[in-house]
Amino acid sequence: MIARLPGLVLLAIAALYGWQAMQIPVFAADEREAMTAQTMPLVLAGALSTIGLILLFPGRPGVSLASTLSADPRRWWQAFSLLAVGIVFGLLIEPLGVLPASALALLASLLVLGVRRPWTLVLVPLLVSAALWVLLAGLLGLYLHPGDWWTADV
Amino acid sequence: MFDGLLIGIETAFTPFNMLMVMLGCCTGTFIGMLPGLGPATAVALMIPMTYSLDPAAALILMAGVYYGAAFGGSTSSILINTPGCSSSVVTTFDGFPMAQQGKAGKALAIAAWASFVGGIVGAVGLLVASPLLAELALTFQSPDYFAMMVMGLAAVTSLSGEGQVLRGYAMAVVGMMLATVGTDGISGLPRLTFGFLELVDGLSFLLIAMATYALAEVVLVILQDRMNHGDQIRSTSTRDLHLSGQDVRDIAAPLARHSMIGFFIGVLPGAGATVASFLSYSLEKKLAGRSAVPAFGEGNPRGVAAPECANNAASTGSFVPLLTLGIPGSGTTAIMLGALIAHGLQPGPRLYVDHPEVFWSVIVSMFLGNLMLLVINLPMIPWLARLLRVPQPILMPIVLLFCLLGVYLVSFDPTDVSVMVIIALIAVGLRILDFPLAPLLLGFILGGFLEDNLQRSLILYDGGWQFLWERPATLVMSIATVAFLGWPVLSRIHLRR
Repeated sequence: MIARLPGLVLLAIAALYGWQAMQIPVFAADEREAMTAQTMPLVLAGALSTIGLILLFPGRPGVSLASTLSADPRRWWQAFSLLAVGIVFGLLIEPLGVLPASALALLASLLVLGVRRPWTLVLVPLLVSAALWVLLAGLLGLYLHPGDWWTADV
Repeated sequence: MFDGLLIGIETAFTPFNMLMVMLGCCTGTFIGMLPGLGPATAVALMIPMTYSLDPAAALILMAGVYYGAAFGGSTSSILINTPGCSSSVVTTFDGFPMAQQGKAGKALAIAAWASFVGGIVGAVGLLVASPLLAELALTFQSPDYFAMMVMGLAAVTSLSGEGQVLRGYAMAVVGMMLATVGTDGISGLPRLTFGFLELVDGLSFLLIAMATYALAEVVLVILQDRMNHGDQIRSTSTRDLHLSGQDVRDIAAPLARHSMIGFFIGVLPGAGATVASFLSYSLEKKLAGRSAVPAFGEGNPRGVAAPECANNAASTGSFVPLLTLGIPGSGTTAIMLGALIAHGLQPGPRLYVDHPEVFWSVIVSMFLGNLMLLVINLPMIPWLARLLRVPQPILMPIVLLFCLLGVYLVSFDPTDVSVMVIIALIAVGLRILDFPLAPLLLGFILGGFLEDNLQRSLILYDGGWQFLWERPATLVMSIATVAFLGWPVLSRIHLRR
């Protein structure tokens, strides 16, 4: 079953995309044209389903990236936690401001990856945030959001 | 050509652009040295910074990062037996044994000189070949462009790697599917937007590039447990980095051979630096025969020189189809193509006519960049290598932050950060299922142009497909496409026999 998973995934994508492609509106005047807004999406859905069908019958298995993945559950927890930090960063960047949110995201990521030295946890976020400010605002002149929470009218 | 060259010199030698070359080389070297983060990641990470630059400076910076990362990749191959990128894998075969024998400095110096020779020969080739190909491509019409894009996709995908060809095609199709999201060029109506207003302008290239090549790599570094390499680094001193006359004589002939081979492989869409390095290594090994001392795989300097020279020449060569045809030859050049489009430029023959300062300054900057890599980066290698001792649990959060912040600073839309995380998660899943991601990016970039040119061709030929064989250039490219598509099948049949 696992060997057939790539083929099944492709077939699912092709089916979903193909169904959506059939909902694309086509003007009555365009219906007789060789190419309409639906043509390319439908061709692509067809191509992907064909490849998906072929992949349902896998040949000799090669060296898979899956075989190089760590079996340690801690690594998986760390990877998913880092992605969660990314989502939280997105939610906090405008309320907190770019630099405080960056420093917090760094602190959280360091903790997730097992860094426990107090000086590292303090210095890395501070130094990197300062360097970002110099680089982005100072040298490149980019606008860094100061944070709604600090600038909102009382 | 000479007028163009003068424009290029004038643009590339401004203090700011020279600073961009240096910044690109140093940043690329450092990121390239980090195990798991190759040139594509390095270039993707730089894109947000380039948005505040003019197009010439942006491309100069990205080009510097590209060959800087290739150079940095060889450093980690030699010092810690962990290639920074796929084109440096071969360098570990003899580079790491040399380091184990206490000749790390010599191996690094050979790699640096080989990269320099490869880069300079590649830049000369780029200088000569690009204007000729651009002049030819100026005569192209929509059918030729359509055929050329299909050929580029077929070429890149057919060389996806052992057992990945079909999956490569699947990813190219998925990339093209993503490109169809947004306003349709034919009817002008939103298409496949699922009712989201944010998708009317289509998906952001930067978002997809950063998610698939930068953020997904960070996650994979953790999942593949590539976090602890700092303690493996061997100490080198600047004194070690000198080559003797005998060393130079030993590597001179391989450098001459493989710089040419590498360049021609780089020009072919899809072949790229990795294919060039593997091919050059096996060719050099065959030429040396069994009498080679030390044997290949046991620390032979020619085993370091050949692939390093070829991969740098190929990296430079891959700019020929990018600049003249607008067809990226690899994942890294696909990212650069996307970045240039975001800057409002369309790489291809019109770039040569409409923006000669961009076209020529990039070529000129390559001479400067390769010289900088040799003169500045080589002596700095012992210090740069110490940065590898910085534990990955400290470096990875910084890379993660660059990805997150990079996407936000381009659109100033916090939703993009969450979307990028979701795309990265999907990208990791696809990588685990052994789907290559370079064809996805290529399909995404070329998909829109491919559809536009197909539509124009069909209008030109009253809805008929005869344009595929009536125009000589289109016919040649259509035949090449069939060859690229058939090649994996033929090679499999040949192997079975």
